[in-house]
Order: sequence, then structure tokens, then C-alpha cells
Amino acid sequence: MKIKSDHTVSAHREKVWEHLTDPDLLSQCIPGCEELKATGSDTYEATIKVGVAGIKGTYKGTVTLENMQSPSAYRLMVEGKSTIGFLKGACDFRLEEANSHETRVELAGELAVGGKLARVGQRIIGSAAKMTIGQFFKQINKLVATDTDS
Amino acid sequence: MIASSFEYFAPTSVDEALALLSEHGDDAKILAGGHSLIPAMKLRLAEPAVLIDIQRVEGLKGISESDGTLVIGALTTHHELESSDLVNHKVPILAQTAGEIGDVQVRNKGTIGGSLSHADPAADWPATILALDADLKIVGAGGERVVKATDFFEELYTTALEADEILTEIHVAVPAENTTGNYLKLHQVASGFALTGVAVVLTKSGDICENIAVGITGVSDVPYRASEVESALAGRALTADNMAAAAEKAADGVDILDDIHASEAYRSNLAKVYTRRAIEGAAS
Repeated sequence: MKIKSDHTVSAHREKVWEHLTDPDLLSQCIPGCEELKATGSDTYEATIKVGVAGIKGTYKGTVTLENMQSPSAYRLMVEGKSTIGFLKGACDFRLEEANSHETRVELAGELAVGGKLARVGQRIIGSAAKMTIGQFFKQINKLVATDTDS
Repeated sequence: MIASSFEYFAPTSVDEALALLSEHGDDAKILAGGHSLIPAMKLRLAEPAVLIDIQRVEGLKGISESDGTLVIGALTTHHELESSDLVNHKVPILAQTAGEIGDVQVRNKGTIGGSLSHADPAADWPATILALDADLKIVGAGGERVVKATDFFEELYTTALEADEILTEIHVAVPAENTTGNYLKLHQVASGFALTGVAVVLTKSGDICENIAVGITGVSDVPYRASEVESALAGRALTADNMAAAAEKAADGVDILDDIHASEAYRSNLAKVYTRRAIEGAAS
């Protein structure tokens, strides 16, 4: 499944970069993130409870950041497993200055889902992914708005 | 498959159900007819730790009319709505919609309140409830509130209901004499869900469309009112050309679903074709 979307964050590009790549800030922005622990440089072990309505799974897996070109681009790789299925994805993030106080973030990637989740939930996976990404950026916007030293 | 273990409560009053909800919060799910939740639990897609079965709660069933408004209890089954004389006489589009849901078993057990609260993007009720401009009565620890149907559906499987609230009643104003309704859907063959479902509520004055409301389900993450279609037809003559031109706007500005059952292009076309046919049916 392809992922393609763009989002606007009301902050400087450096600030947005920091929120997208710093594990402490990232863990506050990822919906349902219960743990994000560094296991190497730009490699993290994550526990994330993700899903919609009653259909939630707790995924354990790794998050890796690659091709870091601060503050304009990087690639995010995710791999995780839960009792209801597994997911594996790679997504390129591009950060552009929209104007003096806003940053445009473009996402383009692929997400593969397998197991029971894929067999019975196919119809909603795309929408659920879109909704989760939307919540992620909503949370980043909220965090940068309360961050006064930007 | 067999569901994960859970704790089961069967309250007999709304207050008791609300108390259980606030006690167990996110771990709890409300069980109404159980025709969405139980299958999800058997597949272990949903594993709520606590089930609050509201089927024994007093006062949540049945249909009555007061001051030109139909009051439908949230636990009223699809079949009860389909077969009610009052509904068939006063707001026939509700009975028509109920008859299109799933299969006989689902209609006998499934409830209108359960379906609306679950908010499946391909469920039938949302289209009709939107087109009828229904009001939804919600009760929570903080008291009662009424939410308009147009404000109820927020995101995929997400409604205006807070975690500690229960939908208790659906209020539908009985439409005027010169108003007709029509619900038309394309069934997904295996599940019976709507690949596209269009509800039209049309008020005519002679051959002129005085007012029109169009609710569409199955096409996007969230059911929606096709306001572009409505404004293109309101105040105009109900000619074949005008109806077809308005229906072309059925998917305007909408983020269209794309999945293994139907591509984005196919769904977009379905929305337009079913909207045109639903309007033609309501106008004839």
C-alpha cells in the first residue's frame, strides 16, 4: 500500500526536524506510543498501540531513521509485530519551508501489512494509516505551539 | 474462533451503565446487538477487557412519535424499524434503509444505535441519518446533550461520542407531505456492506426541487452530506439533465476510499451513478 500525503506544521524547519527525529519528542507525537528506546544511532525499539475504535494491536518492533539530511529529508523505516499481524514500511520525509513560520512536510512511502490484520482488515488499513498519520501531525502542531523557545 | 476472556456486566439502567463506563474507561466496550463487536472479538481484532451489555437497559428500545418527531430508542433493531407501521407511514426511508442492511440475522439482532456508534465507513444508517438531519441524544456522566447528525461522524470509526458516553435516542423530524425519500445502495457481495449507499430526501413543489438533502456512505472514511449536489439542484426544475448534472458532483471535494473491493475511480463513479438514480427515484 502506498502512503502519500503532505502536512503543514506551524514552525521553522529546524524545529520541525527536531520534532520528527528526536526520540523524546517523537514518542510524544506518535499516537499510542508506549515506549521508544534507542538501541543504536538512529535505531529505536518501539512499543506502539495502534488501531481504530476497538480494533487495536500493540506492536513491538524497530524504528530506523536513514539518509539523514538535516533539516530537509530523511527516511523512516518501521517493522513491527502484534498478535493480530505484522507491518513493515518505509517512508521518505521531505521538509520544505512554506514561509517564514510554516514548514511543509511531504510523505511518500510504502506500507506492507500481513497476518490476520491483512486478511480481515484490508478494507480499512489505508484509512487507518491515514488517520494515524493525521493524528501524528496534529500532535506535532500542538507540541510546537506550546514550545515557547521556537 | 473464540474471543479473548473479558469481564461481563449487564446493567439494567442507563445510570448503572454510565457508572461502569466511567469505572473501566478505555478497557470497556458497550455491547448492543453485537453484530459488529462480537465478530471482531471472535477474530481477536478487538479484545476489550470489559463488556457492558446494555440490552437489558430499560427505555432504550422502541419507536414513538411526539410533536412531529419520531423518537427512536438506540437499541431498536433494524428489523423493528423495517417492519414498524409508524416508520413506514411517517418516514418510509428509514424502513427502506433498514431493509437493505446485512442479512436477516443481522437485522434481527443489530441495532440502529450500535451501528451509528460503531460508525463503520460502509454502514447504511449514516447516509439516511445525515439526509434526514437527525438529532442524536447522548447521555454521559456530565448529563445529556444533543448532537446533529452532521457533527456526529468525525473520523474513521470515530464519532462525537466520548469514552464515557452512550447514544440513547435518535430524533427524526417527520418530513412534510411533499417530501419523499429514497435509499439506494450497491451491496458488497460477500459482506452486504455498502460499496456505495446514497440517501436522498427531496421536497418538491410541482416540478421544482424546493429542497434536497443527500447523504452518502461507503465512499469515504466518513459518511458525508453531498452539499455540492444539494446546492446544484435546490431551486431548480427536476429535469433529467438537471438531476444528472447535480449527481456528477457527488464525490466533489471528497477523499475517496481505495481498497481491494473497489478502486478510487470505480467508487467515485458509483457515487455519481447511485446519486443520480437515487434522486430520480425520489423525484418520480
